[in-house]
Amino acid sequence: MNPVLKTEGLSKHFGGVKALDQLDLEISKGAIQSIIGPNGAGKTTLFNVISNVIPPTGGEVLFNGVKITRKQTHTIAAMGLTRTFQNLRLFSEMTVLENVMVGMHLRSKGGFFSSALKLPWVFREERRIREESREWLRFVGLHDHTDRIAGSLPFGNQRILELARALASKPQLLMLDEPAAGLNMRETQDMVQLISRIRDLDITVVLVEHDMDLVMEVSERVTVLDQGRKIAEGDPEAIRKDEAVLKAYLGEE
Amino acid sequence: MMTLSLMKKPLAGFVLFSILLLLLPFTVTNDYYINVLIIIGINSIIVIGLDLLVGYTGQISLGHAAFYGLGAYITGILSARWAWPPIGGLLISLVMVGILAFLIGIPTLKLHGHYLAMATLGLGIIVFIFFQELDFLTGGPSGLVGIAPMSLFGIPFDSDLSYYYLVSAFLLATLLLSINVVRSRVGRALRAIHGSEVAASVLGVNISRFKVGIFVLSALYAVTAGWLYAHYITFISPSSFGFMFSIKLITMVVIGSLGSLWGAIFGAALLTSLPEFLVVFENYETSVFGLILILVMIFMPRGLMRGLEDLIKRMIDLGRQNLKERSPTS
Repeated sequence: MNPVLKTEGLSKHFGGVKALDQLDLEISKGAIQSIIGPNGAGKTTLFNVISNVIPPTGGEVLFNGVKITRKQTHTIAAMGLTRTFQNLRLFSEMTVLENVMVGMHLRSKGGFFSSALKLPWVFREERRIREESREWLRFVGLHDHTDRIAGSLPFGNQRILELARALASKPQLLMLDEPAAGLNMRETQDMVQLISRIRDLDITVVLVEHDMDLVMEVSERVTVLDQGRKIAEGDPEAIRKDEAVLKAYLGEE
Repeated sequence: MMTLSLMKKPLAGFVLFSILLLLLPFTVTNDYYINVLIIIGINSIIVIGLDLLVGYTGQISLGHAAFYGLGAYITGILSARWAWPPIGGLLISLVMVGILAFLIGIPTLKLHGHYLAMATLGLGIIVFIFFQELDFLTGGPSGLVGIAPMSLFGIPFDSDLSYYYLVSAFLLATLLLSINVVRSRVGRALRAIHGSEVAASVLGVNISRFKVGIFVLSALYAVTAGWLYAHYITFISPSSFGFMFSIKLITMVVIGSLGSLWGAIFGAALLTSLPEFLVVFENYETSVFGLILILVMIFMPRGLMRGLEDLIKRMIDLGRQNLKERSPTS
């Protein structure tokens, strides 16, 4: 089966530091795949380069077989690839509902002219956006906070809101950058549940994570990066026992 | 209580505001104040557009007086030199400045923060120099005379009162279009860009398209205001469209409340009319003006509109607390 996402010799250098070093990676459709590695292994850089928030130094990224390496971030999003951020990037002045409504940007089309004149179809579209956004909030369990200002939510809920916002764009591939960072045990468990339910929506999930319990619980496949290179790949059980992985995490004996 | 619920229902607010505009002239005792109201209306149109750009989208422009001036000069030149009717001047200036703002916006809006401020400042200065130096068209520093008074489709607007209602009609139209834009997919995209450009772009928002779009729209508002100004005053000179006016426009947006359309009108009204009331201070007029601005910013850093909103909320909370204390039923 063709991989939904593939990188070929992907590199990103920051001065002399090779954050990504000739990385070949394949994500198969419908999987939950985790990318782990010690600090500075290049995990977040990988997400930034794939979504072209920062351009790569070399190599290619293919999404459903199409090169997206030099496409703009919003074009990549329109092709069905979106993400969340390790350091939350909510629209914190907007309400919870409005955040999710922005998530539906790609699936609606009201422009300056039609919106200013509030043409009948814009009116209907607006209602559809509002209703579906409420559904997404219900899906993630934030429906009691609809009209709150996003920035005033507790941290755990903000993480979930960012996820709901990304889901509202109905991506094919969703990249989650440390979805459990800063969450307590109970919240992490909720997150695990949520990620499994996302997969049931036919969305391929790639996540970067530090929380090993979460990784082992949700992933079907784990890729281990160290210093911008792939050092191991396999199912969670195999990774747990992998020599190279232990060495990378614990240092050489 | 009432203002709070009005903000949640902007269309109800819009209807009330229309009635207010309709009745306002009957409350003024001195005809001179109609004059002031007209200028307030014209300034409000620019400031609403500028607020869409600055307050909602988070992009600064220190050159908006240029678009206002272009609106006034293009129609002024067409009218004074070639006897074009005002409506022709409006259409031509909208098209010309729309294209100009589009072409300038593409490279300029890639800049951020101070750089964007510098670029738009430069634009304002360049346009100002054109007003001064293209004597054969603009009349140079001494100004352009002989602009025809406003007349639309054979209806003359020659009295101050009729002009007031014309400006009010344009103000209401601008406001309504803006309310619609703000409460739409476009408005959310603009505020999302303000919140986080990266987050907006991973959700598929084409950042440059929306930035340029709102830049052009706000320029078109300023053009319309310039057109209303030129055919009202019938004499224009570069000094009305200089750097200081751009700064004054930004001040109106900030004092009113960034990202609030009502605040924009509030700010325009206050800063336009304040000097009229401060005349009593004679030589100290400017100092008192500055002092008021400083006090507003110290005590209402989020601007007048939000400041009043916060104040009302606090009073309601206090009232509720008092009620609770009086009835110890818990």
